[in-house]
Order: sequence, then C-alpha cells, then structure tokens
Amino acid sequence: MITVFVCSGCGLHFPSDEIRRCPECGGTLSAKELEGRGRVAAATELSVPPEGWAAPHRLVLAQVDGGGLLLALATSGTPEVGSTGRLVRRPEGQLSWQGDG
Amino acid sequence: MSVAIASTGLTKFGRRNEGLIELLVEAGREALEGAPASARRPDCVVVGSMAAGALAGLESLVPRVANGLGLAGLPGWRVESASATGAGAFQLGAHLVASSAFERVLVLAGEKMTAQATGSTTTALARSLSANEVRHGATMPSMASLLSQLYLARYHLSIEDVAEVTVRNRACAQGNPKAQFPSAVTAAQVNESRMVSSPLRLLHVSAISDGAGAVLLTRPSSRESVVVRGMGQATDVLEVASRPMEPLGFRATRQAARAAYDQAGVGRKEVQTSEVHDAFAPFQLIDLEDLGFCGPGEGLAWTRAGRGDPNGVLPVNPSGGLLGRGHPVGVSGLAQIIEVDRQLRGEAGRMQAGSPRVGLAQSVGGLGSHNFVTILGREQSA
Repeated sequence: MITVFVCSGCGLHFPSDEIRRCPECGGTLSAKELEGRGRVAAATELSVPPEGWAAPHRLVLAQVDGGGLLLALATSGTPEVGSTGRLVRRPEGQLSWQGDG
Repeated sequence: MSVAIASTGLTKFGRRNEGLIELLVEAGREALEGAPASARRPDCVVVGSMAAGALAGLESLVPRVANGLGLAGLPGWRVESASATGAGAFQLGAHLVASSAFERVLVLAGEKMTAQATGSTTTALARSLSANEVRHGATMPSMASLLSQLYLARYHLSIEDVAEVTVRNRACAQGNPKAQFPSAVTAAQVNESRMVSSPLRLLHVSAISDGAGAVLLTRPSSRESVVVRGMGQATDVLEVASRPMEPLGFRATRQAARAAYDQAGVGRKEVQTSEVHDAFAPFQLIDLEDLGFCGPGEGLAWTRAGRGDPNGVLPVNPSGGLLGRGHPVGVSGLAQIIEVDRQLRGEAGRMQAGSPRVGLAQSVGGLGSHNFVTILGREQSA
C-alpha cells in the first residue's frame, strides 16, 4: 500500500503532504491509502543524472488506479509504456515502480 | 501600456570566455550606445539571472552590473523566474516605466553556464522542480521527456516526427549571427544524435550556453516606435504529475497568453511574428497550441504545412529559437523579446521575415510552473 494526499477542495492528488495545503485551491490535504497498482504512462532513462545519482537513472510516470499520475524510480530497467505493475514507498521516501512479471 | 523599447543589446551565445558580469556589461553597453543621446542614462536597472550563485559563483548582481556600466548609485532589482527569468525581468521593467516609477529602465539578463561540469549544471537547473521530483533525481530533461511522451501518445505522434522542429529551427539559425548553432541539421542527424533522456536526443534539447541581453525601456516618443502592447504571466502547480492535465500542455502559458492578448487588444490572428520556448523540441508544438496558433494536437501538422516558416502566415522562431540560438537559461526570455523587437523594426538582417507590426514572445519557466507572454507592436504613439 502507498499513501497519497488528496485535496478536499479540488480533488488533485499529491505524492506527499510536505506542501501542507493544496497549491491549486488552498484546500486541506487528507491521506488516502492506495494499493499502488497501475500502468506506466511514460518512462525515461537519463544518461547524465544529477549529482548523487548513478547513470543510467530511470524514472516513470505511473497512472495509478484511483490515484492519478505519480512519479517513481524504475530500478529494474526501463519499463514499457502501458505495462502494469505497482508502486512501493522506499524508506528514503521515493516511490519505486515494480513491474509485473 | 505606455512603454517603448529604446534600444537593445545581445551578446553572441555559446561557450564564452567572459564571466557573467562581463557578458551583462557587454549587452548593457550595446543597448546604451544604441539609444538616443537623451536616453542613455537609465534611472533604474533590473537584472535577471536564474542561477548566478550556483553556476557562476556570484550574487549581488545589481551593484556589480551598475558598477560595470559606470552607473553606481542606480537603484535596481534582481529577478529570478527559472528559465523564464529574462521575460520576467522585462515585464518588471515595463511595469516600472508604465507606473511612472522610473522613466528609463535598463533591463539585463545573463547566464554563465559553461563554467561547470554538465552534471553540476543539470543539478542546479533541477532546483526549479518540486521537492518530490528532486527527491527522485529528476532533471529538466527527464521531466520534459516524460511530459513529451504524454503529449506524443495523446496525439499519436512519434518522437521521430518531432525532428521537424529542430530541423526547421536550425535552418533559421543559419541567419542569426548571435546563434550558438548557425548550421543546418537533417532529420536523420536529429534522430541519430545521442540519447539525453529517452526518447529525447541531443538535438531535441537546447544547449547549455553563455550569454546576455539588454533592453532599454522608456516612455514612447512621438515618432513610430516598438511598444509593449500586452503582457501576461501565470504560475502553476510545481509538481508536474499533480497538475490538471486537460488540455495537455502548459496551463500557465494559456493563462499568460489570455492576459497578454486581452491587454494588447489583439487576437492570435493579428500576431505576425513570434518567438516561442523550444527548450525541448516537443515543447514548441505544445507552445503553438497553448498560444492558440492552432488547435490541440495540431502543432505538428501546422508546422509541416509551413505556417510557422519565415514566409508562412505566422513565422515562429525565425531567430532559430532556443534550439538554434542556445539556451543560457536566464537570458532566453529576454533574447526572444529582443528578436521580436528587431523583426518589428525590420532590422533582423538575414532572419527578417516579412514586415510584421505585431509580435509575440512566450517563455516557459521551470517545467511550465511560471510562464510569460509578451506582445510588442510597432506603432505611432500619441
């Protein structure tokens, strides 16, 4: 399960509550538990990552069931767009994509 | 608005030996020397730079620039709006003149990016992203890649299709003496260039660059001049994945454009030349749609039909854009305005595209989180 934060006013989803208030409408954010299953909407492999990250560095935008789009790390290759899997929260706070199969 | 462009200055873009302040002073001197004698001493300075501290090791830019121009004592402000910094500096300067707070405002923007290793520069630029995106090691190219993929998928386009944008802009840059890349490329070269952030390749991405620009703003004189007709800007939710995504594009551009069109009292069909923010080739297609030049998903077809060519109905990036000119991030927004000004004056040299009287510049800050649209016109003031 992963936790996302949903605005009570406009319904936008956010990956964390560090912003405290919805940047769209100022509404309060409430936690929502999701199974984290979804589908890859986009994926990229970056050849020159920022300092502190090793190349190749891979990211996905996952369309999560009931939770909108979420950014996540892809640690096992670059997943195909449209492939299914689930997101898990790492101890460091990032989301990580785990593809099915 | 009662604000006119008295003169401009623009350095050559690319890897420069000079430091940030030297570049700013070079552009500022060109603008001041090109101004009418009565306007050569500004009474205020606005300086834009996105990341002078991280990239050039400098802060406190306003007194450094004023000192360099022999204008110590001038009041001034520094502006930062990520990759739209130059546009933000221009709009602040225009507001200062329009409000009668000052009569002559010298707006400068500069960036020194090549002194750092690419990884350090990439890290500095990524600071304009959300905290969550930075936590995931996201960069501007990687976020641009993800957003571009959503766009391409929505409209059933391929990344190979987008080479058209680079090919066209680089062809235009051949006529630009200030461009970092004044040479043509083929679609095959674009599609075979090395991968930066898949599927974006090197020639889909505007280059790290050094450069500076300057614009002297005054009240309009009685003779015909280039004036500011309309300005707009807007912010958006920083976290790209959390934004409302319909229609797919940059909401902040659409809001900025609406405000600028309204203030200028013109519609998109009256715009006769434009400079848009092509930091990444797919963004130019998104820009065309956000500005209303064409409908959602029509950017590529509109481009392929030649509508944005120098001899088309609405020339887009006749200077070569960021892809051809180079992208010293804090400068590009101001450079676009300078290029539009020169088109309106008929002084764009080999880049001149017709005889436009209304021109538009659009600039994207960060990943679309702070965008600007500025409309200029050539007209006789009352």
